Amino acid sequence: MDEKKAQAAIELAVFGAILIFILGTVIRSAVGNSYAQNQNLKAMRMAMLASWNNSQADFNGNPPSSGLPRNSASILFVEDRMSPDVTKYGPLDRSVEMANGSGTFTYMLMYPIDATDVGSSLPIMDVYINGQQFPFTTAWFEQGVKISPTTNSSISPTTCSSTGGPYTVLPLTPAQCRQNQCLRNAREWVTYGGQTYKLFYAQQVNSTPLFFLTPPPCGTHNTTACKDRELSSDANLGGVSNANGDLMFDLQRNSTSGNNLSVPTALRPYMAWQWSATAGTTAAMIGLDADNQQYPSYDIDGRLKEVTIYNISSSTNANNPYVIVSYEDPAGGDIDSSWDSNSCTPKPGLQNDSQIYTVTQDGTYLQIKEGKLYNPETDQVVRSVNKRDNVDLIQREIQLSNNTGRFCSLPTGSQATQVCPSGGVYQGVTCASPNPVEACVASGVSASNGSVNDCFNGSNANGQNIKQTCMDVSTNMIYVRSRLNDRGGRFWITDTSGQLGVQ
Amino acid sequence: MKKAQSTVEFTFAMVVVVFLIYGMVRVFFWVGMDLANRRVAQDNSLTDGINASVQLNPDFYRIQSMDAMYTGSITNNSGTATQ
Repeated sequence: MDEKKAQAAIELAVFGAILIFILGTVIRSAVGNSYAQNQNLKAMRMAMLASWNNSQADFNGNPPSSGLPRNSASILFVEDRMSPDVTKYGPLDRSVEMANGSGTFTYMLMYPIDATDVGSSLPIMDVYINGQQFPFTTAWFEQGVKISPTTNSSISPTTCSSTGGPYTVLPLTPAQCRQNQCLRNAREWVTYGGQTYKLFYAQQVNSTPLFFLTPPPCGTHNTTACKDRELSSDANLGGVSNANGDLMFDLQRNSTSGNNLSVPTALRPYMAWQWSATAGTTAAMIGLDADNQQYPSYDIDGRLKEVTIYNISSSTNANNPYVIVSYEDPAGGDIDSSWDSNSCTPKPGLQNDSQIYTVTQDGTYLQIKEGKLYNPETDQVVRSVNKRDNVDLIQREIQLSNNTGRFCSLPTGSQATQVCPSGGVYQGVTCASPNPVEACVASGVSASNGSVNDCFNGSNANGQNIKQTCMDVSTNMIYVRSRLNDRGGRFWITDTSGQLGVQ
Repeated sequence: MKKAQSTVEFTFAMVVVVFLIYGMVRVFFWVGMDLANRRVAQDNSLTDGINASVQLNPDFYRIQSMDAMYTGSITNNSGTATQ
């Protein structure tokens, strides 16, 4: 009997502890599910609301003056929520809750966007990180871009390296990728009958009428009859002849006379697609018909990516050929929506790295007071005080594909990069609205006083860079700094009558 | 001296177990009702038929109260908190 004293109480304690642990796990899991469901529904609602607000026509049936950037709206939520926990100071841990939603209202779905609308109707996706809204464009409108074989292009890079490339061993470095693009852009010009013109490329899918296993003949170049068939049997680029179809099946368009990288002949019937080319000369040659809202898509600058063309003019004079194009580029926005292994920029979007810094000094604290403290004026005895008042600084990184100037201006000359004022226009660019970026730096660029200035060092009028949401225009990286104040706690009071109460 | 020990311990244990079971029931009730009520509120608001800005109000739901303990002043006696 002596060994079994209080056996039931001990068993109760053991099993009760297990039960309470399970209950705690259920509560934590349920709160997580509640957060997730809440954010999923909220993201969907906000996306639909954004689409609805953006697609309201005026009394004449025209789209709003702000354009239609959110006709099909997309929302991404990232929030660091407190996770239920029983610790000395109450819940301190945070768990990441992420949800996205999209919505489309049909009011303006079929509205024909032409060259005058496209600049203000570039698609925008909204990213909310702990309440900060980042409106990122997923395309860009380039107006009047001149491409010529002599200066290669006004599209970056403007000049190719004199040596090197084409590079064929993957993965390519950004410099190798740009060199390959430049080499393609420089060589993809053809001359027939005293006329020189740029080749615009399109991907033809197997079984379409333009898909050829043997090169098509093309006796009358630069005419409607030869449209889309400029990679004919007599084409020759960079020493590579298309007599056997090598140019059409050179998928990376890297082949030279010394390295035939085209798909072997025996495998070509099994390929899903091939390149076709047309003369980038007139609207008719590329199938552009603005009156009927026909805007074709071509790879115009050797990036292996197609853009939507809204206007074209050209000179085919063999002594000074060029083409001037206005186009919408899905790779030119803040976020490259067409990013793949052929892109010369880092993978865009939210990066895997994130850090949390908890600051509890200079007025913020984690505090516990225990014991009796009798106050004769209030007749109260404070038994236990438990307070927290701290700031969590949470850093995330968003890699942009381009610095469009909507968040930070490009540094020009001696002028340093500056924050683009929300909703305003700076250096000819309409700034993001809202613009949550608080500091702009160009790392690697020495300040006049020799000080280091990046998103971790230096400061501006708003304070130290490390505390602020900061964009580094040298790397097109936005360091998102969420400053979350966490205040809470409890205290128990016993009054003089001896009754316990909770306040 | 110890004849009634098991009875006392059993009684004490059962009282505690009843509290635990009550808490467990409340937790499971809250887990299900919070998720279900949010979905019901979602469907109701979407079919209100007033206009899109009302139907799509992102703050359409207040989190379900667990009601497993005394509601003190920390929640202003309302038992609910916005989410």
